[in-house]
Amino acid sequence: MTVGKSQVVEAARREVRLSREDLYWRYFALGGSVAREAVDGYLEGQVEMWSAAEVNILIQAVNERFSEMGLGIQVPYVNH
Amino acid sequence: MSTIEERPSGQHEAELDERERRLGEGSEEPAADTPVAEDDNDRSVASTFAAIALDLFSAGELSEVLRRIVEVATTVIDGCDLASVTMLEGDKFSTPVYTHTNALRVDEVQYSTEEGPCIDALLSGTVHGTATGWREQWPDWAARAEQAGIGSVLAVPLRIPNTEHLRLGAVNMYSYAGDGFTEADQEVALILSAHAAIAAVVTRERDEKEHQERTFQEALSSRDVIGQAKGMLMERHRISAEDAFDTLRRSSQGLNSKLRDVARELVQGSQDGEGLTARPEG
Repeated sequence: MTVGKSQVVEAARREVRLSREDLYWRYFALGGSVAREAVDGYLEGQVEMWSAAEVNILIQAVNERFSEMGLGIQVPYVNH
Repeated sequence: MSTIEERPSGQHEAELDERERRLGEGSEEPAADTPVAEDDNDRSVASTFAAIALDLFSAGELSEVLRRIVEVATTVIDGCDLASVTMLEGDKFSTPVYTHTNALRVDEVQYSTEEGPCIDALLSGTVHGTATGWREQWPDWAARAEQAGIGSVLAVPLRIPNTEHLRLGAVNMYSYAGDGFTEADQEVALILSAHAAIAAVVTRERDEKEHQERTFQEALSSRDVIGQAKGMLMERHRISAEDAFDTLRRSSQGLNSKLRDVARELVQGSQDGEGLTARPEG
């Protein structure tokens, strides 16, 4: 996983005005298993290596927020 | 929002009598020509605030605590005709509770003119009011307040010293009289604000804890049903957990539903699991 993708997710989080805490709970609710501190580290670009599956769960959490706002899927998923 | 309607002006004297009676509850009524001993007054004020503390802490939500604060202010502070609370959320001031719309109006003038005793009390953490020379200090706001009939004002910060809770809000007390507040009133207002600040923080922290608990329980419930759905797909289609999640994800996109709702329908059998394709994202 590249830092570039994490920047896309972080930018999307800001765009939909989700706090990091809210995003984490949405990610956790979707089955995400990475700890809160590591998620924060990923969003800050400090953690480069995540499994694609976990990144997709995080992206799903952001995209569901886009859908709630009537904006459709905005962040592309990653292949694994 | 709960408001308390303005009382007819002719009842003001009767209300003062009532306040005196409440403050004197529990102590023997002195003879008319007998000076009230200072100790008796101290005891009656102390017992009043003991009751107020219990009352504030029994309030259910933050809004209820704030509503009780303004009620108590107009009850125990003789000169206080109107009361409200200013709160600061981010950089925005608001008045969540007030005893009369006049209090709300003069509060909102402060927010629009960005000056006034309530804003200063909140931001500085010190008492502001008529005694500090309001016409000179906040000329625009004072002129508008006087148009609304306000003769004097006392604004006391809601804060807990030596904690992060230094700018919770301010209790705003208005009087139609020009000399509505005495030094003794200011002392009483400070005691009230100290009780109110602690009650507000305790209530807010309790509300946040309950919210966190609800969020956690809902998240666990969601994880549980998604885990079950993934397990069903993995078994039916002999796919990995990652592919099972992708299947649910694509279905949620196609159905424009949340992933957990798709998972719940699958688990509840209202949606045919065989209908969900399990192709890796390409």
